Amino acid sequence: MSAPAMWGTRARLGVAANVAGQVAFVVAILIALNWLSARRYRRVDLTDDVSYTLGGKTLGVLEKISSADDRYQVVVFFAPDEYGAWEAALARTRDLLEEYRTRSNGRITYEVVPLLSVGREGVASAKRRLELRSEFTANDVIFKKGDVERTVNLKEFFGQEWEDMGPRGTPRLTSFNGESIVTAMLVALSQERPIRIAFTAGHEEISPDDAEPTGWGAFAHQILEKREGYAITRIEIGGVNGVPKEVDVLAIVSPRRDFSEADLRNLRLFMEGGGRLFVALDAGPEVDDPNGKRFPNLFGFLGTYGIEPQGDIVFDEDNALQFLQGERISRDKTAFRIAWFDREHAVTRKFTADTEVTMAGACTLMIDPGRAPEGFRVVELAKSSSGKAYGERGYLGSDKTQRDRFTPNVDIPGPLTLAVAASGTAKGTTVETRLFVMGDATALVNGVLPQFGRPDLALNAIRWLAKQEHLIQESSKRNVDRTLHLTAAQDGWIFRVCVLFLPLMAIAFGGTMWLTRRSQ
Amino acid sequence: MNFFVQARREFTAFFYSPMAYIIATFYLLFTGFTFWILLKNEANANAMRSLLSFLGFIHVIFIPMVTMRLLAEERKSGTLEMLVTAPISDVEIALAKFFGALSFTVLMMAPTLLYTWAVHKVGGHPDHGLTGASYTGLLLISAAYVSIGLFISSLTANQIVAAILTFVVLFTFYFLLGFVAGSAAALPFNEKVDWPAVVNYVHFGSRLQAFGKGIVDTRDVVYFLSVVALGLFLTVKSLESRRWR
Repeated sequence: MSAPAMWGTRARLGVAANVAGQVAFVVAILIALNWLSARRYRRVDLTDDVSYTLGGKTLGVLEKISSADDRYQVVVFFAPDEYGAWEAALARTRDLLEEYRTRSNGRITYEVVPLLSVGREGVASAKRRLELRSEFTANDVIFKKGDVERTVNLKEFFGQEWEDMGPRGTPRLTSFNGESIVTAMLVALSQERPIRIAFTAGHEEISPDDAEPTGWGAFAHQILEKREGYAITRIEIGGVNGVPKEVDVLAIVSPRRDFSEADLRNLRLFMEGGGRLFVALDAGPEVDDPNGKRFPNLFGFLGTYGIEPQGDIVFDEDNALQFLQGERISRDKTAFRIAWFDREHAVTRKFTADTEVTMAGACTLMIDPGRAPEGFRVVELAKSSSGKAYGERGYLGSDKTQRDRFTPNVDIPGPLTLAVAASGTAKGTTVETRLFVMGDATALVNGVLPQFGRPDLALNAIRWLAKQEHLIQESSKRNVDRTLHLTAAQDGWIFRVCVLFLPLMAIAFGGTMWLTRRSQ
Repeated sequence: MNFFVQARREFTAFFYSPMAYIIATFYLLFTGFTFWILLKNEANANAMRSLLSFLGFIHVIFIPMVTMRLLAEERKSGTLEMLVTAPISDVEIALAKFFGALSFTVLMMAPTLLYTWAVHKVGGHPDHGLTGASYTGLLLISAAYVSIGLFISSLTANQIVAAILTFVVLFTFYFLLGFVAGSAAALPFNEKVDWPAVVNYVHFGSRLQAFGKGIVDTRDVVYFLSVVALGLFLTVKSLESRRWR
């Protein structure tokens, strides 16, 4: 159809200009609509386990980051393993980092450097390009803001399990703690002064500097110092100066000798001045006093806050962990998952039914709130199960009986308290004193932590003691294993259904339609 | 009412053409084979996620074949003159053609839902939320493709030209812009405008990523609907232009 004869060139140009104007107007409206939607948007996570829903704390941190000028870089130095577990870990982590990038309006960027494919020169080139100074090992994740760098290893993002192994012997990634770690790293990068944690020395404590399997080097330096940004020191508190003023949190970890009177005096002074104390005990091999008077001074001091450590070792058959020993899977009743967490206290509030915190060789903590100073609140934070859990007294004691079974009137029946928090304001001060005690230090030693130890409880406790409750996040999310190894028969069936049957159905339908029309 | 009659006519017209069955057969063959390979290689019940990226590409090839005849054929056979003079507005014509082609595309995609069922049958546990979001994304990007194809089909009387032009445009938006976004960071005028972000925003592949993870982002939805709206608007203007050109 041609234009009416009376339409001259000028009239046509006029209409064309009008249409061009309309198109420009509509395009402008659509651009404005997209501009607005980019500023006020919603992301609906439809995944079954809400994998990509970030917690409120993370969103708060990202909102601050997105409105500031600072740029954060995340670099993953990736190396795969023979099981394919690292690939799965990287995929999940990459998805998470993408969420951070999106939510921070690009202030946080990430990059994966594949170590095997880029080679040594490629790695050096990447380090130069990204201006990284930190040394790294395979699967380290480096967070960088300006000149400040922090490192964490990808394996810390995940809980692993060796039971129910797949046909190819693949370890399962059971839980994902990436959000908590990434957010903590971002906050640590933006901190002005690091919080100081001082570990006591002089009582044969587990050392934060010990890199041997029985030390706490990995937890103290890899997690607390490098990842979370705390400053770690060791001090003896019995001297005339007592606990230095710059110490924010004092930590006592599994001492093997009792505290002296001088130690106690300074410890009391520290606490009365609004001190914050972290205590991790152990059943230990020297559990030889069934009345729990192993360390009269230290335990007596804890007793003044209504916390009474027992001389037992906790067994929990219902939640015992399984270990792969050669081809066999075995269970150890002294290594178990914590069955119950208090859902109100800041330390454990965000823990869910899926939170995996383990204990290994723990002792029971009994509480007597009536003995705590006036104005102090004592809260049980974690307990064993009630069914087949008990605290065995004298298990490795002088009689060497090693009964490994519940003895009425001697052993302590479950549920057993495994972690306690006490807080309050001492008379004459306005600063709140905080105390956290857990009945186990072994689950966090270097030889155990990488296997099944989860630092969530101790880490949250340190954050609470450091008055950084805002960093306590929802704990690990359950990582649903969707691995699917097809047998030959299943493979054949999938091929027949997807590759043959459906296209043949389309042909058959088309042929039927054609024949029907032809017959009409 | 005219719109529904016309949309139904467009939809049923596909079934009278052997071309539609050939397209659907090859589509299902490609997607089925790819899904089978992905399931074997990834050993993961959520292979649907990887399939979605592939389907985004497959639709770049197949949808031009669906849309090429929408208006080009009418123009070539002369029925477009009858259509635009019939008691039906240009907007209704454009919408009817659009929904007719989109319905056929959805019908072509529908059998791929059986893949999820097949994974269940062999003991896998696919994420249903992720699958749902993936199909939502695929529906939206297909709608955007169809609207672009419809507009291009309105510009020419030659179906092959329409198909090739549509393919080139979709290929540009799905692939080339991804490369441009990557290299835009090196552009000298990068300081005033965040070009990588702008190019990335209009890049179809990037807009589809969140759906593949199981996330429905309102920005992606608004973007794809904007493309649909623009494609339909341009189609209407193209139809109207026959009256004054």
